Amino acid sequence: MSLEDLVGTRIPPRVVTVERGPVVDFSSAVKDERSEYRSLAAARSAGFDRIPTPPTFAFVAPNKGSFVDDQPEVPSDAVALVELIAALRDGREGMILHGAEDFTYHGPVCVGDTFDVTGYVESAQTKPGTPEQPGMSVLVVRTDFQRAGTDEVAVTTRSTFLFRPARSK
Amino acid sequence: MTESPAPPYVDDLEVGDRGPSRSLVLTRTDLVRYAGASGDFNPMHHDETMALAAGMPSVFGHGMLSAGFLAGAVTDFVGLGTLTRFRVRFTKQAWPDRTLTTEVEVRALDPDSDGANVELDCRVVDDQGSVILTGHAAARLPRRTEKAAT
Repeated sequence: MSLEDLVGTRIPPRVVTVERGPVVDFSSAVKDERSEYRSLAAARSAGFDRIPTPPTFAFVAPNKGSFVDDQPEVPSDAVALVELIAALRDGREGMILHGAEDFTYHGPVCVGDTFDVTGYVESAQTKPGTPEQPGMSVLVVRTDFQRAGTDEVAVTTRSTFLFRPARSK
Repeated sequence: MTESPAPPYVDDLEVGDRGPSRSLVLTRTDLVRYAGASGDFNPMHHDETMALAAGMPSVFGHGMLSAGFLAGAVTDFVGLGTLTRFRVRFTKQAWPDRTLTTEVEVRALDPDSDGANVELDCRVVDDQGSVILTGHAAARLPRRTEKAAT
């Protein structure tokens, strides 16, 4: 199977809840100490009805808020992200890199929110190389954070992963 | 803790205006804290032995740690809850003990893009002159409508 055949492949869907503790820890880890991420009173003073989250929190939210009791059945054709990245490597020597990350915001992500998170391979290609340096392989995974029980997508992320093959001997 | 200022009015901005800069001396503890807070336990970011075995001079920062740090600087400029887009491209590793500094600048006003009325160029550089990541942000800022009405 060629890399291009992965286009359209779904990753396992998840139900993700945004909890208060992870938002505080994450904002400290990215050195953003603003009080609105820590205090409901401060968030309300700034015009929010709940505690907002830092702009890049959505990227980690599935790691911090996927609870086993809430998870949907995994479709049989879904492929885990780590397996997609392994397919990018395709057994070759070289390095996997996170090349780029792109967030599109349609609505707020706040403490207490629950999202149906779905994703799929939006593009996959191997770039032309040279005899000395084989071309990079590039995989873009699109993920949508849809507010549970609604058709409102709050955030879309596009994650670009690169595989840079080792130089030819 | 710090309070966030209200978002600026788009009318008060000009192309080339720069937002407040943030600086950080990156420590290994910062890397461990981000690993725990993000759930990203790639050993290249916390296990020196494995990083050396992989041919790296040391552990290095998660790209998304630098991106999150930059997002804080962008938020300092445009305020909370105004972003419509934030994208970053990772260009160089962030090494421990280096000073990371953010740069945020107005690239365009009133671009015709999905309701945003300001676009920013932004990046993180280190004290050796390396560009760690480059990015773009778009935001929807308030307008001085009451002033326009008089």
